[in-house]
Amino acid sequence: MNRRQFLATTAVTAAAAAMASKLEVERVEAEKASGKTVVTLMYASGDFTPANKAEFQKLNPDIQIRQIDVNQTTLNAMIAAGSPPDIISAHYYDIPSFVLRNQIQDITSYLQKSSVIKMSDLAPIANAYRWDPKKLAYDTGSYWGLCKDWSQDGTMWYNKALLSAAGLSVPDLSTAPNFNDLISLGEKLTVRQSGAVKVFGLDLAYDWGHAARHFMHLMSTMAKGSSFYSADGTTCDFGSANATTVLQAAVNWGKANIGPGAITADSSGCNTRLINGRSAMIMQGEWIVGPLMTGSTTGGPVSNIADFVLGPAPVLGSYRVSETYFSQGFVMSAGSKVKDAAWKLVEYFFGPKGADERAKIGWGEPGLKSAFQYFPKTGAAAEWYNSTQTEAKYFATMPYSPYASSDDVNSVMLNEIANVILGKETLAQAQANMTSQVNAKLAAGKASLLG
Amino acid sequence: MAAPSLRRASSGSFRRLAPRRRWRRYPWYTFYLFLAPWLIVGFLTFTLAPMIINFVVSFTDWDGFPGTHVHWWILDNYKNAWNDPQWTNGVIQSLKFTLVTVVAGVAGSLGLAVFLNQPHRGVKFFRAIYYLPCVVSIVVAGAAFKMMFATNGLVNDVRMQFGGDIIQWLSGDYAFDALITMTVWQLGVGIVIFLAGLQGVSNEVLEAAWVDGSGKAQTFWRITVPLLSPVILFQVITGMIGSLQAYVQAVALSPGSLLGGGTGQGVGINIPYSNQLYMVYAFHQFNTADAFGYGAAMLEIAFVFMLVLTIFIFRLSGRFVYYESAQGGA
Repeated sequence: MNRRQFLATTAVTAAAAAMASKLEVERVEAEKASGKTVVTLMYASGDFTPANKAEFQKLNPDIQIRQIDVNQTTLNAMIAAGSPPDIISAHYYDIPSFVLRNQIQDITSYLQKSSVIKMSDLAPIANAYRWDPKKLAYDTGSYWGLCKDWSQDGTMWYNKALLSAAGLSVPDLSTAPNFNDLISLGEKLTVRQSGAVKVFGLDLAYDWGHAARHFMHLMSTMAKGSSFYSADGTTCDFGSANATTVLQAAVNWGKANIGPGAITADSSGCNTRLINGRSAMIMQGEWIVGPLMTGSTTGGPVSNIADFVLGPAPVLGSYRVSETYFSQGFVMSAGSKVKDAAWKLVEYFFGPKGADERAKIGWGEPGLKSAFQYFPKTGAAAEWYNSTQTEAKYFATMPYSPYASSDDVNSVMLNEIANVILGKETLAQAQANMTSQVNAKLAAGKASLLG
Repeated sequence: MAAPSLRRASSGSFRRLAPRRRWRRYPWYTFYLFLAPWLIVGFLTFTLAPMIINFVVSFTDWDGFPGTHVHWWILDNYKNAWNDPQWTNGVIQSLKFTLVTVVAGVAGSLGLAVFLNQPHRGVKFFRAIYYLPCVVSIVVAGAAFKMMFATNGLVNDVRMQFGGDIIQWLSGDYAFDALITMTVWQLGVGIVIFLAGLQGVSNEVLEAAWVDGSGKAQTFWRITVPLLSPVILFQVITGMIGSLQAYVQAVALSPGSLLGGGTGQGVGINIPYSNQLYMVYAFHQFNTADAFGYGAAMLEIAFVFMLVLTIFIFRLSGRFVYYESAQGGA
């Protein structure tokens, strides 16, 4: 290639690159110019499916959905650039930090005016999306989002067949089992071969980040109001007597190697492990009803669906509670320029139509009371429904602090507990480390959010 | 004006060529115009500006969101790092990772390059085979190694064949061994560079050594290695910088999904503590902990450390690196 050819090729390549970006801008502008309002939605495509998108756009020909898959890095970048999505997938524990950063829209007025979503139809979980920035408290103040579906995430699943094969029976479902008793049961159920675990006795969904939240739940059961955090969420103490009991139980579970964790890694997903008979007991919540009903993890109907039993969340102390750890919902960006169009999307997906369809396949518990009637109630699902209704009496939200990312705190807890399990430090050292690290994060978060 | 060149035509006679064009006929700013895209877009926008922004952010408590209270903490982010056990763990694990991968990588690629520099039959085939791992993306390699090191994977199968027990390669301290193995597997680039260096070693020098009675080992250590020392220095420095910045390898090998999943996951949830390298923990500050200031400070500390280490190695290299041109060589 001579110099002239090289320069010509370079010029053509540069022009093509410039044209590509220009075409993208022109495409977006064309969409706007065609009279359609573009609503940017950050939601998992497995939740808001292409079929949902096509149906919504057919019902609302003047609105176009631009969907982005959920990604924290992308979201941070879009917010930092000042162009956040209009509707964002959110858990209830995201609400306080979003509110204190003035990032999200108060949707109370939209709810009050809506003819599709009735405030009287909101399930109790909706209160988790209410937050008062003056009182710094949930369950009061404005609505900042809505719940799509939720679960009491500490509830237990048992594989009756595996328990029978080990000569054991499912614990009494009318009372909450003690976590230490479940560890003993799990040790009997765990099947090992050549040093590897073939069947996990007590699976805490470690690979999905639930284990630390299970330990927080156990802390809640030590006494009413018990928590690693102080009442105002500004400090924490992992060294209290209650905390020591909980963390010791966590270490005992980890050292027993009866579930994926610090000793044995497994990335197959707890739903798959339960349904495929790789885990005899799982602490995961009603979410598994969906995969059991739809066969989504097995690629077909679950043949032994009657083997699976849903029971209460375990306790470690004397106070019975069954929290929802995160729930799946949405928030609307305060900076959205298409709030009215975005609200139509909310009414379509989070309103009765979407809630009813999800309830029919047991995809978590619905965010609307009226959708409960469609929850599967025949066959094996009848028992699950009864368990769900019983457990609902003990519903609560997790006592997170708004000043530190719960995923970040989970990370600290799991790292320190793993070090104890692997014999690298003592429990006392881990407690001291957790307390100092998390307190530093809380102090920094409070200064950042409150000034 | 240069003297016209002569070229032999196909008929066998020589004919004169027109003088070659020179750059001087172009305006003086032509050079800068060609340089401008890289300078403005590449360097200023994507290198210098982010470096300055990161430096400034490292002295704040910014959480990455616009409109929040930002405080100037001066050196607080830097002080907090010293008291953070996870930061210390990241430093130690990254230094261990760098030491092992650089030594194994340089020694391994040099050894293989020596082997591949021999005129054996089929050597070109082996050169291609050894380079192949380098064209595999780290993400794909991570997925493959995860399967190999899984509880019921190939590595454990082989161990069991020889009477060994199953090892949990993807958790605990063994995860670090799996990470090292995956990283060192991609030796190919080093092999290519050393091969080029070996082929630059003059045969006359080697023959002179042989004539003087030097054996193979002596020739290698006393002649080939000193002549290759600039290449070794290059490999050590680039290997060191690459290893200290390692991130994707640790995440790709983690038992969970690549960038988290489920309810959103922090670094401790799926990446074993032994694989929480420095950059893994730094990324966690931006991605999960909403601690952009602290993360920026971690990156500044890493930058200064790498700069100091590189300068130190260069200073030290005067004693161990032989430059032929400096010695008046060809």
